[in-house]
Amino acid sequence: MRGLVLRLAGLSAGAEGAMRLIGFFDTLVEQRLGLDGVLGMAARVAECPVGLAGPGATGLMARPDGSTRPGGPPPGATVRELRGGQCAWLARTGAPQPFDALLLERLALACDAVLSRRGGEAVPLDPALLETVISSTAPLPERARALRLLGFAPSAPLTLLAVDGGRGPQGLAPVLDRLAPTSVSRRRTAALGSVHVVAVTGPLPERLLAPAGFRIGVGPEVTASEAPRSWEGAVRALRFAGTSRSDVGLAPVVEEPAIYHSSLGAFEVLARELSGPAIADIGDLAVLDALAAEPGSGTELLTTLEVLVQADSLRAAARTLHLHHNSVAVRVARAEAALGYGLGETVGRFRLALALALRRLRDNPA
Amino acid sequence: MSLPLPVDPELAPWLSLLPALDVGDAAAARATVEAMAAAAPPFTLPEGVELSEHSVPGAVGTPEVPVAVFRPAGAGNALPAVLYVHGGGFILEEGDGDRALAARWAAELGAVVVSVRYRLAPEHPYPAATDDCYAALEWLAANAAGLGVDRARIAVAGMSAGGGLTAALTLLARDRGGPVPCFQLLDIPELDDRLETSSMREFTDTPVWNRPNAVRSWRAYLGADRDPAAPVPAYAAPARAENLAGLPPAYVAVSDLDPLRDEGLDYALRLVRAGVPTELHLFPGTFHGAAGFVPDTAVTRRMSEGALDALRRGLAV
Repeated sequence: MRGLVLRLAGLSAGAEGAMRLIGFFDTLVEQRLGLDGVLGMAARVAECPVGLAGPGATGLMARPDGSTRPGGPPPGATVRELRGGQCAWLARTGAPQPFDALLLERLALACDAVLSRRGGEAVPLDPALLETVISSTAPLPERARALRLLGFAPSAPLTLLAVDGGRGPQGLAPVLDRLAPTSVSRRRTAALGSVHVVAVTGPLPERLLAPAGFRIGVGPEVTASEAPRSWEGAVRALRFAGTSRSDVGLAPVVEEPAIYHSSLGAFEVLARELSGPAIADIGDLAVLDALAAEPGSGTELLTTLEVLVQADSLRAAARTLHLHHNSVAVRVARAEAALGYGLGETVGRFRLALALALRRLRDNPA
Repeated sequence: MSLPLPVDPELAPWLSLLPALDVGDAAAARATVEAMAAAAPPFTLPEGVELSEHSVPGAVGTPEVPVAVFRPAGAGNALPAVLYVHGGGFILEEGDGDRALAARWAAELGAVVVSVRYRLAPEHPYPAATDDCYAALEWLAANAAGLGVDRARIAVAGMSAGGGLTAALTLLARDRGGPVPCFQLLDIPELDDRLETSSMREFTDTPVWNRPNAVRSWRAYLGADRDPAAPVPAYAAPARAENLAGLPPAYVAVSDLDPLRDEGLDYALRLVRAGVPTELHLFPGTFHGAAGFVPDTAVTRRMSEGALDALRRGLAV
C-alpha cells in the first residue's frame, strides 16, 4: 500500500468525508499544537498555502510542505474571520476543492482554540505597531490607532513588561505561560532589539519569577494611551532584574524575581540617572566582583548576599535559601571579611544593598 | 478507535483520514484503492529512468506474467537489480503507487527495478502469486545479461503481503536450486496464516490492517474451498518454514501498531538464529502502511530511507 498517499481529494464527498476532515482538525486541537503546527498541518492536508492574518498583524502562512513563515494572504484567497477579528485564509490555485469551505471553517476554529489558549500573543505582530505604542515621541492619534489595531482600547488599563531573553526556539512562551490566565486578559508581544516588549491588559500575578534565561521588568499599570510611561518604568525596573540561571551541570536553578516598577521607590532615580562612567570604579562593587569571581562558590555567595539584604534575619535568609543558618553565617562572615564592614546592622545591610543595586545597574546598561 | 500504543504525534491527525478498508469485500476494497489512486497526481517517470513493460513466461500451465522494468537511462551493464513485490493483502494492487516507488528506487539506487504484477486472490489463490513472482525472478536472472544486470546482485523486496511473497521466493529459490537472491527486504511482511501471535490476537481495530482483515486476507489467499485439515505450505506462509538456514541476508521492518508486528519480529529472530545476517527495525508509533499513506513525517521518512539504505548495502551500491 505504498503509493496511496492520503489526500483530501481521495475522500468521498458528503457527510462521511466531512467527518473525517473534522476528525483531522479535532486531533490538532487535542494535541494543543501552536499556530505553526496547526497551520503547517492544515497546509499539508489542503495541499495549498493557508494562513492566519490580522488585525494589525503581518500574519503567518504555511506552505503545503508544512513550513511556516510570516506572510499575509495572496489576492484571491478565501478568508474566514475568527472571534478575535483575525482571519484564517486558504489560497487554492485552480479549481476550488469540495472540502475547501469546511477546511477553512475547521482551520479558523482550530486557530481560535490556539489563540484563546494563549491569549493572542501567538499571532505574529507587526513589531512597528507596538513600537508606536511605547514611543514617547509618537503623536497621540497615531498611538491610539496602533493600540486599536493591536486590539487594545486606548482608555483601558495597560501594563508593559520589558523581557530580556527568549532567543531560543521557545521564544517568550516560558514567560507568557506564567502570566495570568488569558481568558481575562489580552497580550501582545514584539521584539525590540535584544529586549521583548509585552503589553498586557488585565491583572498580573503579584509575584513573578523569571524562567531560566530570562530577566523581567514590569512597568506601572497606566491608561493605554500613556503606554510610554509604563514602558519607561519597565525598562528601569529591568535594569535591577537578575537573569534566572538555567540548570546547567550541577548548579541549582535560581529563579530571579521579576522587578516591579512599583517596588523601586527611590531606587528608580538611580536607574534614571546613573549609567556607564557614573558607576564605574566604585570600591564596594569591586569587592563584590572579586567575591563573585571566586571559583566554585562565588555565584552562591552573591546569591546569599542578595537574599540577605531582603530578609528580616540571617535565619530567614537561610530558610529562603534552603540552607542551614550556620552555612549562611559562614558565608556572611566570609563576605564581611572581604567587604570590610559588618552585615549584622542596618547600616551595613543598606551599604550592601546599594552596592548590589548599583552592580546590577552597571551590568544592565540602559 | 482506541489504540494499544500511542501513535506518533505527526501521524495522529491523519488517522481519521484513513479509508475504511475491508479486504473481505474485494470489489469494494479495490474501488477504494482506485479512488485514492485517482486522487493522486498522475504518475510521471523521474528524469533519468526508463520504463518498459514486458510479459514474461509464467509457470507451466499458467498465463504470462506482466512486469514493469525501471532502468536508469544510459547506465552501463552489470547493474544491481531489485525484484519488487507490491502489497495489498494478496487481494489489492495499486499500479501508480508502486510504479512511483519502483521508479524512485531505480533512480536512487542506480538499479534495474522489476515490479511484478502477480495474480490476485481471491480469484487466484495460492500458489498463483508465488508462481508469478518466482517466474519473474527466473526471468530476471535468465535475462540478466540482456537487461544489463549483474546476476550476482539481484535483491528481492516486498511490502506487506509482498513481503510474505518475497520471503517465500527466497525459500523457493533455496529449495529448488533456483536463482538465489543476494538480499531480501521484508517490509511490514505478512508471513503467518496461523494468526496466533499476541499482536495479531490483540490488534482487532488497528488502522488499515487488523485481525479481521488478516483473517479475510488469508482466507482469500489460501482459497475458500481449501481443506482446513490440509497443511499450509511454508511457501504460502513462510512463518511455517522449519528451516531458515541458507537464506539471503535480510532487512526486516515492522510497525508497532500493526498486527503483523510480532510475526515480523519472530521471523527476523529465527533468521538470526539460523545464521542469516539480519537487520531488524521496529518503528514506534506507526501503523501498517504509514510510510505510504503519510510519507512526509519524521518517522515515515526514516522508514522509507531505512529501506533504501538497506538495499544500498544489500546490493553493494
